[in-house]
Amino acid sequence: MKRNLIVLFSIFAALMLVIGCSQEDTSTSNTTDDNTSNTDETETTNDEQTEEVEEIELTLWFGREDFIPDDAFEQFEAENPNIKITTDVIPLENATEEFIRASKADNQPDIVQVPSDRTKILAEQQLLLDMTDHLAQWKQENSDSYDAMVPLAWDMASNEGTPYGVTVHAGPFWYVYNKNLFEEAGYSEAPKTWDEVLEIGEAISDGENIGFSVIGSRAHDPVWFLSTFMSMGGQFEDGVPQLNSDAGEYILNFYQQLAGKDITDKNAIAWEADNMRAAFITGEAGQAMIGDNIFPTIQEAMSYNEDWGASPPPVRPGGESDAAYMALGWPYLVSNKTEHPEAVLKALQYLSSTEIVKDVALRYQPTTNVEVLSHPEYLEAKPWAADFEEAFAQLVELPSHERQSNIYEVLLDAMQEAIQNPDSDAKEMAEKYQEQIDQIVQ
Amino acid sequence: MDFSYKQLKKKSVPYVLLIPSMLFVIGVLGYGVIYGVVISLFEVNVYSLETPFVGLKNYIYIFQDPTFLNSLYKSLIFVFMSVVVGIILSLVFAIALYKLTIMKSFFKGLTLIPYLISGIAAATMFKFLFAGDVGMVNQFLSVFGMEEVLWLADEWLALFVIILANIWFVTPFAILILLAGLQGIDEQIFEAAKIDGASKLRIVFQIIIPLISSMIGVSLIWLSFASFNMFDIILPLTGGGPGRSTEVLAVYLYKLAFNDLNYSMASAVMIVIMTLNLAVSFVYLKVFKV
Amino acid sequence: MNLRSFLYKNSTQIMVWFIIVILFVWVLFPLIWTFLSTFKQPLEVYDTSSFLPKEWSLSNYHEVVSDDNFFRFFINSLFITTVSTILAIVCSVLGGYAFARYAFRFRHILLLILLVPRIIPRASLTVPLYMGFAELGLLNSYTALIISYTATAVPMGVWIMSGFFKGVPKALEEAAIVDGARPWQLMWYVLIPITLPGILTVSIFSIREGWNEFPFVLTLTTSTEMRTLPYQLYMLSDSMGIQNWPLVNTFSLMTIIPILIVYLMFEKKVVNGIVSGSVK
Repeated sequence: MKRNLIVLFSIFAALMLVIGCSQEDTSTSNTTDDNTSNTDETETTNDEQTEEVEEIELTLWFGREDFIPDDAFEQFEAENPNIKITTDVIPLENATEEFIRASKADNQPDIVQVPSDRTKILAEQQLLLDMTDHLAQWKQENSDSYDAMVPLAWDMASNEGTPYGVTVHAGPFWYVYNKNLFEEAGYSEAPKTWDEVLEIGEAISDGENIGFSVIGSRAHDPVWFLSTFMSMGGQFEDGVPQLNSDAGEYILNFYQQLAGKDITDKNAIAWEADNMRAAFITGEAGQAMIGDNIFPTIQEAMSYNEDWGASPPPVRPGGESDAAYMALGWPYLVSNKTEHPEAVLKALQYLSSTEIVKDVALRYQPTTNVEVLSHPEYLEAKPWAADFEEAFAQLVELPSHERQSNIYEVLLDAMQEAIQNPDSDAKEMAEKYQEQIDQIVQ
Repeated sequence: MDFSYKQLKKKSVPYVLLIPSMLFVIGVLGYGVIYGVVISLFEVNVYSLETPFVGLKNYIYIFQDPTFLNSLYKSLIFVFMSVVVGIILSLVFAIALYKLTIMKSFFKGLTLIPYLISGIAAATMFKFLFAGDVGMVNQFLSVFGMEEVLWLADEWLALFVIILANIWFVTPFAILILLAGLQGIDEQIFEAAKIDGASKLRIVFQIIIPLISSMIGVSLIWLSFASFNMFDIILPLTGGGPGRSTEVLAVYLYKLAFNDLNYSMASAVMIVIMTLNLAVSFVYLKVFKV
Repeated sequence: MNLRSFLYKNSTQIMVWFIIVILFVWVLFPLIWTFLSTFKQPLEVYDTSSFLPKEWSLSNYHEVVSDDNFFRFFINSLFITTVSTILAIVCSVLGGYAFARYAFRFRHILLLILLVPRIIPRASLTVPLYMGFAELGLLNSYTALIISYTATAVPMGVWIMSGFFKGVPKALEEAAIVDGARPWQLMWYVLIPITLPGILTVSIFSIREGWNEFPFVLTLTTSTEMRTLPYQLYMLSDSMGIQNWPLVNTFSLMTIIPILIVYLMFEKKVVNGIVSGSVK
């Protein structure tokens, strides 16, 4: 039996060894360039900093690999030899949750990137740092770079007037149309109203081609739906969309007509962003609402202004005055547990600098930095950009509520019911779902 | 060394042997369950800062919530169909494999392949099998002049598709368990039955099934557990839609925990799923005397 | 022999082969499309005209392999899977032996505890585990992942091993003890060789667990360095851009291949392992 115990003991020894080794693994790899710092380490560096030169480590969570500057902060670290930047990629879809959890466990990054409609949640959980003074300092010291950012850049990173960071990249959804299909159907001009969109769509739909490509599934947050809603003059109260309004009824009726008149694909209710985009890019669909960042891919398949065109979204007849161009942004927010707000500010300034933003915007998402938007290089790479310069200045953020995800679920319910029941009364539907939304937020 | 010490030592052997496995199971999984039970009695979510003790309020809430009740209903259909079709399919395949005379090990090996594939990969496969007019299934049907079927756009067909995908994913293991049962049967019983002139169907129903009833029980438990907890195939495949037609409990739980960040409610749903699993396995244990 | 009597005589085998063909198609049908798509271009998967690729290009395979990080993620997966499998085997052998050979108090309760992990949805474990590992300072470490994967593999392993040990005749053990074998010798020279198929079975299940696991690695790690193959697969399917399905499929096929190879190597023993182990 003693032997048994020896066997057992050696197993435990092995287990301990494994634990030891793997800890060693992480700690040794921590000395390499791009690695996370865990809290213990930042603490030790803090202790050291009082004695020697300030050695600062910052951890940044990017929502996509593509948002990381091309030089991976090389220039930044050269200019600020005492600051070391660690970048990790936490997908935007998970970043909010991960950040909340990490903050509770003191394992949070200094800067996190989340979708702009989640800024509110993080702010109300009191996890973000009020950057008012730091931003004022920025404006004072370097007003050029500060003023290059449109107001939206600050709005999307704020909650109830308090700024928590900066939004460098924001993507609007624009209306796109296929000129060849338009011609075949006897149209040449981009529609001005959503009524015309339906009319042209019906003319294009012939069983082979579809008039309007749309996302009908619940795979994503209903940002395409809300963007259309806002272009139709849809209103929000305290961040809550008002479906039981003219615009609300109109958009539900719009989806009903898409499905009922076969203007969109029969499978639209199962379509995700990908199907929707592919239908337009492959020339199957006549019209769609597509994010600016997809335009380069469209351009690979067709030629702008010859085969396809784009414009800010049409309006609803009667809703012209309330129409708005919605953008979804991906702000960089500052954790309130950061110990180096000064260094964080420098990092934010670097991320917003025209030079850095230009590289990212050229290959990825558009930006809130106007210097980049009007940069010759940008205008050359994105032939459509010039047509949208004015619209970019008018972008508004998607209003949000702390119960955003619950509201989204109801909106998806409403959208899907509209697609499934083209003949039922849109007004009743709007009332029904508004009631559900109001119940959530009361 | 006195007698009682020796005896104590001897008695302690099984416990000592179990220490490592129990450390892992209780330390990791048991901890998770207890944490879940505790949190389900509080109100921990992302839209309030306080986390008050609320007792059974979360449970009362979900049982009045139509979304939850819909999920429960869909879950029961999903699990019932998966288990019934799954066990019949497994039994048929297991008997065929058992009766196979050549290439037996090749096909036995082939059977387990779906089980080794990750959920995301399996979901992607099924998505493109059934997706609109691109899907292979519809292209296949069109060869026979049949019209395009809107597999994922119809509420019941979508449910059918996720049941099919689930069965594909979880039955391999059940097939092998049943095969194990079959191979444990004494060949002489079959010979005797044949001499008695029993028909093939009678052999299956009156001899094979009763003899492997405990294996059937184990397979049923396996199939129901796996089906109740399945979300990694459904979520990428349908996202719970169209409507909420494929939003089974595990998907509902996932959305609560990862989209709404409503941890307490998610834990309450977890406890409900656990209870259902326990109840189901209890029934199987009684019926099949596993 | 005329056809009729041939059919009559072989009716069972004909039925059997009919079913086997269905099984064959059933298992492989979903895999075929995936395989074909790996040769396609991103938007070609939406093309209805043909499911064969227009051009048999290996560019997707090249892209997956030439990504520097692929190797890193592969090593991560390999390391975590290997260590957790070894631990799972050790625990399962010891635990399985205890359940097979000893009658003891709490036996049933302990058996029941082993069942519990099967009945809780994996996703709901992530939050408590995160908090627990954060407390221990083990976030972003191999250890956390190894512990979690071992824990999920152990219950099934103990169950399988206990079946195997029950199949070993007690007389064999007694004979070995009479010959003066010490417990560890008994284990190493007698029990383990006999139950090797069982151990292989446990390994395959544990490998499957570690190799494909996703929710835990998503929550317990934030550092890019710590990612495993399934995490990278998730990162590849990006809904904000044009989803490159062919690349995603290539990646997922390439992650399946190693586990398939391992499985096929031991396939005979594994399947017989499940088959004979669980009868007892």
